[in-house]
Amino acid sequence: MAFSLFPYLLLSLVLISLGLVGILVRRNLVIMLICIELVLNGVTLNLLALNKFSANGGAAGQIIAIFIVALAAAETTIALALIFLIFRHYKEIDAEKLTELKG
Amino acid sequence: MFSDVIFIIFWLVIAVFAALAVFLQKPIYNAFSMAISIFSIAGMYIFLGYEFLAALQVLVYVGAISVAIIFVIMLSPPVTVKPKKLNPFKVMIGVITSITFFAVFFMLFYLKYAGSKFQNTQNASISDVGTLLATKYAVPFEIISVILLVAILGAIVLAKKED
Repeated sequence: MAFSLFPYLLLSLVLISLGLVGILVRRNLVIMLICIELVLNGVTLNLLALNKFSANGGAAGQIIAIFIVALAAAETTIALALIFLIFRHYKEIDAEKLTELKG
Repeated sequence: MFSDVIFIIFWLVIAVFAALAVFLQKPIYNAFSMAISIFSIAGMYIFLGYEFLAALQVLVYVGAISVAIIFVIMLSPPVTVKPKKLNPFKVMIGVITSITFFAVFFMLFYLKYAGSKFQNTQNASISDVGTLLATKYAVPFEIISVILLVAILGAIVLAKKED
């Protein structure tokens, strides 16, 4: 089972779907960020499984995975700083209540 | 046989803790569940044969990102949040979207890759990856480092208390 492709694809699909439902349903900004991390991990797992299957574990897929990890780190840093700023300004991290731009 | 059992355990741990990370109520529990789930994904990379990426996953995701999220949650003063009712219409839309996504891609993967097995057991070595990073992918590598620098500076500037 560890040498067939389908379980890896199914697991990445589960991760992406759970992250998607979390982003759409949950209203806490920190939990939405956690769901984005789950989606990124599902994407990376999908990429690496298909890289091993169709490119024989080539180096290019691993390099793209390294780039995804670095971008996820940068994105998390900025998002946490923004969440901290929003919390200090509004005393609130509920996405439903941050509606000043909506008019 | 034994590796199959280990594989199924890892699979279930990742799926269950990802679900807990989405649906638990207190953010600190969500953060710890995400850390466990992501830590187990490093095990999946070991199964696939990417040892360096597994180490990178543990270092960056578990060692840095999860710790940063937990740090921010613990730094914020306790807010007494009363559990409020979610809008059932929005919840339904989110769940339907996610289930549709899952169903479409499940059928695609099942039809295309249901019985596929990996042909080789040997991946490209880490020295190949390093050589390509320094030659062919040198420009994206430099851009990534600039992005990380900008992210660090931006986080400091954003979170600094203005006076």
